[in-house]
Amino acid sequence: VSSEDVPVSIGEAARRLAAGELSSAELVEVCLDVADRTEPTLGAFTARFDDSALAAARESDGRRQSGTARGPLDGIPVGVKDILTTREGPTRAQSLTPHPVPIEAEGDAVRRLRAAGAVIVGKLSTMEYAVGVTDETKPFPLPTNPIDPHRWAGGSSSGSASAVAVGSVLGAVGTDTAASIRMPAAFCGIAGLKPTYGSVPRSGCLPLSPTLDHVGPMARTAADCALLLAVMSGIELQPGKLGGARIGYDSLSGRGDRDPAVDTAFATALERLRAHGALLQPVELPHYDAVTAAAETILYVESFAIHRRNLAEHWSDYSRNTRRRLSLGALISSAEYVDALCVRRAGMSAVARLFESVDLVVTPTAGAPAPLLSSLRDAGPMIGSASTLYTAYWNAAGNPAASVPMGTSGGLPLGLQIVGRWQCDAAVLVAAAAFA
Amino acid sequence: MTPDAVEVTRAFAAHDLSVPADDLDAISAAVPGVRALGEQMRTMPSWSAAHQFDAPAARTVDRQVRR
Repeated sequence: VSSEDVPVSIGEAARRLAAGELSSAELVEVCLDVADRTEPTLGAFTARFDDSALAAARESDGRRQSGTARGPLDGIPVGVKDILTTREGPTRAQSLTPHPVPIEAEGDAVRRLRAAGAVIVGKLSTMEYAVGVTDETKPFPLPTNPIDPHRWAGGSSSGSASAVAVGSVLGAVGTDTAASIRMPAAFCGIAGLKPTYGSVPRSGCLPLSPTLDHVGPMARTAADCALLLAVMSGIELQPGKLGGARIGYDSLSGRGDRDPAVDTAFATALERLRAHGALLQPVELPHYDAVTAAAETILYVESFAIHRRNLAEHWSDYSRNTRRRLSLGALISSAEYVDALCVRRAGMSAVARLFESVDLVVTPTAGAPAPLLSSLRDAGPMIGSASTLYTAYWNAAGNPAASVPMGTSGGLPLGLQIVGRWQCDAAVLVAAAAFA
Repeated sequence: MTPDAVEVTRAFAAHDLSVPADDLDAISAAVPGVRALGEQMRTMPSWSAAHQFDAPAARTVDRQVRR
């Protein structure tokens, strides 16, 4: 098995494993070989667990030979964003500071993947504490884009997206508080899902903004995300179909710096959805700007609450952008925080009413492809300073939201965001899989 | 010191935070942006109704969550 022979998806790998065409040990070895070749420029891993991964792969092969394989994830190499704990190694969250809050040794999402036979091959790079941007002055991997090493992989689930894209893992666990699964998925040309709020346990995850934090799957295909989500959430996913689905679309144009290629790709995406039998209708996301502002306000306040003692004691150990961003919460009053919670609640009501007339909503994931790494050096503390994103609205609303590839701009991937009703994650992934 | 820098310094002092000058400058420059978030939130037409948690619209959310 050569490194060019990495299965294109978890689904394909599972089929080859089941057919005896490939062993898990061979699969893990080939993924580690890809990591060896790509890591010097990609910066996707913060830690690798080669020995324990190969041992786990051999155990998986033993189960398959004895007819006790645990399902489609048994023997599949996956990586975990380095703000979630795993029993194999330390969780540093790309930071030199001590953790701001204690966390348990391994959370339910990782534990469930392991119990399903998934092979944990390493921890994947993030932005410090899942916030901020790249910092070349700190001793951590600099996550670059697999398409163009001068560009960002996106963040904060940076390594989760880039490792999946190059095939050094077939699936990954990410987290998303404002964009952090969907934005890197879009920038690296893979699929990622921010599930319904609370549907995947956040135990073992360093919190950033507890009422906005989501743990979710990232993979090359939406179907693979469904396989990962079913295990991570422990929820049986109900099947659905794209044909006949009522899809509301909002291009969200006119907000931030917009690459014209996004509008072209979005129009093409709508035509593809229509060709699959979806019933399209234009919609306006209710109170979009107000709810997005509420999400950002909530993120600043909650993340400051978590980090304020650490900031006081370890200010200079944080990356420059991280400490500035985290400290913005000090500038927001408790009354303004309550205002934000109320706007969010009213926005959720309006979104629920919108979903009485449509089954899904689609928008672009971002207004432009991956930015140059050099442009991030001057990024300001505000969340939107690094890129134009259309994602935080759905962290406030809590609805499941996926990003899947929808064309390119200058060869760089763009993302289509597909959103569903609360607890209808399967409908989102079915549509996303059909779209691909 | 600019008025925004004074505001940042006061807010940080309430949390026992004292920061270097370059950080203070960068954070102070973000104050208008943070202020704009509050203004953006107030663009919601139902701004005052948003504070009424028992409004029928809020109950719609509860139905969705329970489904």
